[in-house]
Amino acid sequence: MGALTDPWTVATAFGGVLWGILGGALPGISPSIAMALLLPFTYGMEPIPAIVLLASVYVGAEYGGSIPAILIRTPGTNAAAATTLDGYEMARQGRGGEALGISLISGLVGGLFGLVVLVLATEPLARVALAFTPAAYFALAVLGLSVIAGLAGRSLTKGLIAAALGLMIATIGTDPVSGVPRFTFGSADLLAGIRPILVMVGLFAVAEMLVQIGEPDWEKAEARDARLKLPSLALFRRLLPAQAIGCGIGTFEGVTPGAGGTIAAFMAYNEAKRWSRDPDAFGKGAPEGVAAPEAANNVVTATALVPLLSLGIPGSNSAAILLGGFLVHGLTPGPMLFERAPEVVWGLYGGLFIANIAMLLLGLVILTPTLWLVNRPKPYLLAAILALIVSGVFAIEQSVFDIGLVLGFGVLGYALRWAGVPVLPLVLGVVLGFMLESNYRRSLVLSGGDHAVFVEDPVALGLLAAAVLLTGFSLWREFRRTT
Amino acid sequence: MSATARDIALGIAALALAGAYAALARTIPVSLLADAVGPGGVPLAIAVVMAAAGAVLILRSLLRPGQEVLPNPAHGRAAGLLALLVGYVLAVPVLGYPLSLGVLAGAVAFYAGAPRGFALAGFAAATAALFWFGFVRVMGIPFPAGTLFGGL
Repeated sequence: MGALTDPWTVATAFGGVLWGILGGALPGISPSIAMALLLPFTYGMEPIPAIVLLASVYVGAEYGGSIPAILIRTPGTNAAAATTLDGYEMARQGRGGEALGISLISGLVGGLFGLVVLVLATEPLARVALAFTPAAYFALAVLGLSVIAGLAGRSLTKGLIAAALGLMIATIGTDPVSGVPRFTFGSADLLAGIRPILVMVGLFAVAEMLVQIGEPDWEKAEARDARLKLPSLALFRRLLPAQAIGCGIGTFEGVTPGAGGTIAAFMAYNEAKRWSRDPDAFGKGAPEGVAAPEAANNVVTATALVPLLSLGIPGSNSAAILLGGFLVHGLTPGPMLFERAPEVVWGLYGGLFIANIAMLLLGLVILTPTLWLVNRPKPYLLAAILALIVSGVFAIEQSVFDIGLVLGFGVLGYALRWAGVPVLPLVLGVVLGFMLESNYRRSLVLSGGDHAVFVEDPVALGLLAAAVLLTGFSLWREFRRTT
Repeated sequence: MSATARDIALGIAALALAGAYAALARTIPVSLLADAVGPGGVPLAIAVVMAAAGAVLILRSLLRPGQEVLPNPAHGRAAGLLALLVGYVLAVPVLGYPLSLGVLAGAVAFYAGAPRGFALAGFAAATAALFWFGFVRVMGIPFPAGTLFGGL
């Protein structure tokens, strides 16, 4: 927990939250895009500040997304969409500052609650996974891919196409067993494979810019709303049940791969309305209608890291970017992380605590600069973001070829959106490809080429059976939807 | 293009990609260090998954037309922006980093709708100066100086 006293780590947590609030407040810049834009800059950093920086962006972006959601009815992030329902109504009634205060405090409650769940749940789960054999690791990768393929989008078949595409990208480079080059087309630039960071920046950030260039500028906020008002103690007590609902649902949705903050926020809003003494007030400016979704989506910022840290499986786009941050520093999230680099895990916990406190402190003072940024003409913002992307990508390895690759992945991401294909399975395929292939082949080497090893190992058998069941469920769901 | 047509196009692209990928996988040389699976074994399995998913998607789309509401981004605008970015990639070794980046920032802002004038020129110059200072002077990243100006 040295992160709590390390000035550099504290500074990166504040910087990450600041960047997250500003990025999250810009419509079209999701938490994952805000994180992807910073990913290249973590190359030169020590592991703990780098991971804390990325996690802090996630925390800040969830609050930042609520600012335009409340003031101009335009959610800065998808997860803030539920906040518009009552937040904007409050702003229309001249209570925009109060709504922002409720969002900030509820986000803090959710963030700290999620952090407690993360600390309590992750290590026991990781201890179970420590007993995994190579066959079990292979099965875990298959389960992770099949869950995300089935749940990340509306179609399992499209999810599988994305996952297979990600695995194809992961096979580019030198074969991990025999050292033979694969799919490199004679290019020395591809011999070491394609770094997941390039795939992520292209798929998330560049693809979004290609979409945004054809979209009109967003509505601008009025300066009269720019005064944040924290809730009184009486109001805070009144909001506790709604926040508790948000915390409960956010915990469940966060640890569920493929669910995420958006679903959690809407579910929390619906449940808070259902359990409210005055459900008719919802949609007309009810403070509980802001508190429940904001608590829920901030719980998710921590609980979404449970499957990532314990099993190495990212359940959301933002968790996948954080995984990219680990990989940049030669760290592989999963059970071995607690053995090999426990200081990084505890540093992340400490950093998340600081990030939540930073969100409160910065949230109190940053509203005016955030509104100034949101009110800038979109053409200049797009140009500045693209300048940041091309500069950041070059800075990683000083390679113009890398910029070309990122642009290529940007086009791929744009095409996948057009076709309605979820991006997360692709990213997961890229980051899990090595784990899947190396453990599959290692298992067969150990068993003398006998595939029975995958059914004789009870853990592997259980995980593969779960993968089959979940795939079957996704197929059934898809079939029912189309009939 | 309707959701069904897009699904069919995606399915055909998946089949074509799976075929090309499998063909390439078969040409991977097998070294003496190779295991029983070999360097092409897993890629062939991935190609099978891709082909199967593509085929199912086509069949499903033909039997049950898709009801999904898909986004309709402006392809022409996206292609124009991509052209500007490709232009930057080609220009940076020749013109060098600060000049190329300033031109890119100004061109993208103008293309996105910023009015021509001193504000646009000032933005382009400020972006170039700010990024050059941050990346080259502060972070020490060796960005291309540009062959036009005697750099490598």
